[in-house]
Amino acid sequence: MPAPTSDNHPRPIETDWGRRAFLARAGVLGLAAAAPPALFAAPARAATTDDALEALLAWLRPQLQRLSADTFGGVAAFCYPGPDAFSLRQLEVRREAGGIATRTPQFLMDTLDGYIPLPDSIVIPLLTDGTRQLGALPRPLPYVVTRAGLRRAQRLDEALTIVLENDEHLPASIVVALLLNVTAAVLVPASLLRLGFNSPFARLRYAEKARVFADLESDEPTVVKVLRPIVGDFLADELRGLVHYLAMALLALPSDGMYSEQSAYDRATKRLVRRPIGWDQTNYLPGRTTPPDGHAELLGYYQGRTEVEG
Amino acid sequence: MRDVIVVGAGGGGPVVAAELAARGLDVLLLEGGSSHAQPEREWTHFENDAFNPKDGYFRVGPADRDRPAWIRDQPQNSYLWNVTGVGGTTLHYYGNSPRAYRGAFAGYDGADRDAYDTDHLFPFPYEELVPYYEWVEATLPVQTAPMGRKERVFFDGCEALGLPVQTTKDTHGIAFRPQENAILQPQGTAGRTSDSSLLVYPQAQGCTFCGFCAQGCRSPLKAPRNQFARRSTDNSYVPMAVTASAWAAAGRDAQLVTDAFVTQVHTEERGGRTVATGVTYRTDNDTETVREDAAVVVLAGGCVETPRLWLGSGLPNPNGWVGRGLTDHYLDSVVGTFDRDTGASRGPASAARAEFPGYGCLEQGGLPPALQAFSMSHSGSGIREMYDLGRGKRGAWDGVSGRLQGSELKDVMLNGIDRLLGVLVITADDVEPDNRVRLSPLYPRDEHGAPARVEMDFTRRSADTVRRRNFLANRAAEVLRAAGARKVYRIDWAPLILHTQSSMRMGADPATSVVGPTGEARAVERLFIADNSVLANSLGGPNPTLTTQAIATRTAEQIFATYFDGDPWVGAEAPVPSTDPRISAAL
Repeated sequence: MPAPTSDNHPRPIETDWGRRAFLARAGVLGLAAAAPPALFAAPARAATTDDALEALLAWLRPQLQRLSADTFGGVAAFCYPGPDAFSLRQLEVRREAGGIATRTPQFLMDTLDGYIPLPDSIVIPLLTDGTRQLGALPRPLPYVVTRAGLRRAQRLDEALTIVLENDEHLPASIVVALLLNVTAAVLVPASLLRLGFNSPFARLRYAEKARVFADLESDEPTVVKVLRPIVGDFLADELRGLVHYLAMALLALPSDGMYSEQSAYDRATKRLVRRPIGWDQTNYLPGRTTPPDGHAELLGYYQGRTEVEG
Repeated sequence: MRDVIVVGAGGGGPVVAAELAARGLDVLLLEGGSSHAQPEREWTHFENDAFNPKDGYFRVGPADRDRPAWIRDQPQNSYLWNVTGVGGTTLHYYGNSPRAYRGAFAGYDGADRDAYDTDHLFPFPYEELVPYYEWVEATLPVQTAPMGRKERVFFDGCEALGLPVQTTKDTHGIAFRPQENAILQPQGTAGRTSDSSLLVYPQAQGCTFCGFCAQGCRSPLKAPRNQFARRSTDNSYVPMAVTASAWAAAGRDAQLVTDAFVTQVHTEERGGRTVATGVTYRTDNDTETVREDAAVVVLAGGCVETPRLWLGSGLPNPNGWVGRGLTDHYLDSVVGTFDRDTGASRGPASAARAEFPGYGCLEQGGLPPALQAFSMSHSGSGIREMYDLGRGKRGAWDGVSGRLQGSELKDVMLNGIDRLLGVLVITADDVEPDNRVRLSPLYPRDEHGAPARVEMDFTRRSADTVRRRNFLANRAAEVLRAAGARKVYRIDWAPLILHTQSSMRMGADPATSVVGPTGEARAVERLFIADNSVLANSLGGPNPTLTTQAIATRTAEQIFATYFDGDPWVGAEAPVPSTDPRISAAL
């Protein structure tokens, strides 16, 4: 369960190497580059500490949402590439519209957030103490990343820890995004150096994204392997089951985003506002925006038999 | 004090409720989800509106779609697809109503008897269930399915392979046939037009071939509820239960209460025996708690909720089999692409099948596009051509099994939804004790107690189950190729849990069953189970709902005879069809 929120002072964090590497790999450290420098300035007096932290938190939460959107953009383009920047980055582009055009990233985030409440008993250890181990995975971080922004990393870590430990309903999409990005950055360290999206996962090439999913679906995903000695077999096995379930959701649920009516539907009127892209691409109910109540499809009965007995 | 409380208005519970209400008993039917009382207003023909697991109108959750869905803990790559509300999972079923294979029952001595799960047979012979099949088939009613293009394609393939045709309800050997569906045959303009103005009852009657079985059947337009084409229990047994006084001489209308989530089964000790006495349920958006007592309690919340309620109520579980032995037919999908119109998105979702006793069965299926894409991107063997997790399979299909993803999936979909045809592989999967439902050790309790965990690990399948599934997948690919498929894909589904059976199984052996041959729980008197969970096994492959309903009819008789001094009626009386105009009038 979330820690009490009455006292929002973060415990002093010495942002160690592992944690800092995690922040980089999760894509969080990269966010700091775009942040106003004042957010990371040392407060002059103790009384202003809370204000400074609140300002940082107010900045961080939407940034995490943006990081998630980038990450899920990378997922949608992987499942359904199109003529969009995410598809271009993965070097798998299509002429016809794909998951980005059908707003599948937002659809995925909304669905996961509402459908898959992640159990705190796994998420909190994973994203707090566990991340130090995730960050310390024996894969090299690019030098430029490890040396950049020590002060910013420290402050971001404080803010992120508060978000993770105290936000009562940490959206599943943010946790999933962090999981994807850490795995991506561990398997493909070069993703941290590529320009463009905040999300290391979204910077991957198509085959590299497939490697991430192969890892998540494997008998022992990287994150589980690293955490097992720390959290013990029970929680590690639970985490493995959860990761396998999430991988299923990430690969299968985009089909609804791409081919259903969701991006063209007005729930208040229960009507389409335009013909869905996925319907055009599959030639489903050709020319219609209102589904028919029947079809002239009856061919009769096989061998003329309308009933059987016994 | 009620005579009988039935917990759950899905596939099985309303059968008990209707049959006992017809005998004049005071029956309370409780349903945790929506009433789905106004389908014309509440439902659409759209996929995401219906199926979104977060807030679709067919989800596992409360009636208010703005309230969160109920948690289903699934610690593996799987997708459990249940529906709550009146009708339960029959709300989105295809109405396929084959009888079980004889080899799934005690006493079978056919030459292929060893091909079945002989450790977990039904505790009585198949012949004993036949009168109950006939009763349910007449009540729903079950009828021979008509043929559209996608059935024609499937039959083309079966004919080309030289498979024989089955012309009986009972299956005696390998054969193909039109489905026996719980769907009214088309009459009048139904199946002959797409002009909605002409598809109004009674000008149109029965199946209109709209293609939206999974989104809920409300065709033809303006038909009385009990005249809608597909006989999901919201259209058949529930209307019968709540109007029993109108169509049964001694009938007494059952009371249906929705938004009534049962959280506790009450018991007391009588002479050293544990006896069920009633239930407590939460209602009015979980703001009120109500206690009801009854002479008999019937659990029918489905394969997930029934064991959850049992365990959450702290009922005895002396042999540890509560929740264990869950079977799901180890479903798989084989999909063919064609250069001609297959009509896949039109007509009843599945109206043709092939039987392979000893292995299971195949049925063709047409899907709307999002479901079709979902069905091709849910796999246990990775992404085709990218990775296979060491589980990729080769056979009569093209390449290795696995998800279609990215450009390959888009190309298949661009070929056209009506130039595809899917074949569902329905395996005779063995009962495995470790595939089960239990209380989640991970998620905190909610207002209903500890959430259910569904453990369905595809590595926990017997060698025989795996062999049968591979056999069927090869036959499916052969049928599609013989029908002219240009390319054939085997997806190798991870558990896509649509058919659920046997998590509270009945059996002859008290050591491996929760329920005895009468449908009454072994450990708690006056407590019966009447949903798919009571099935002894996976029936040898055939779809489960009809058999559940036949068993539920038999259980209703047992309840009436054992606790209300009544006489059995199946075989002695004529069944009243659920389409009876007296029911329409009373509604």
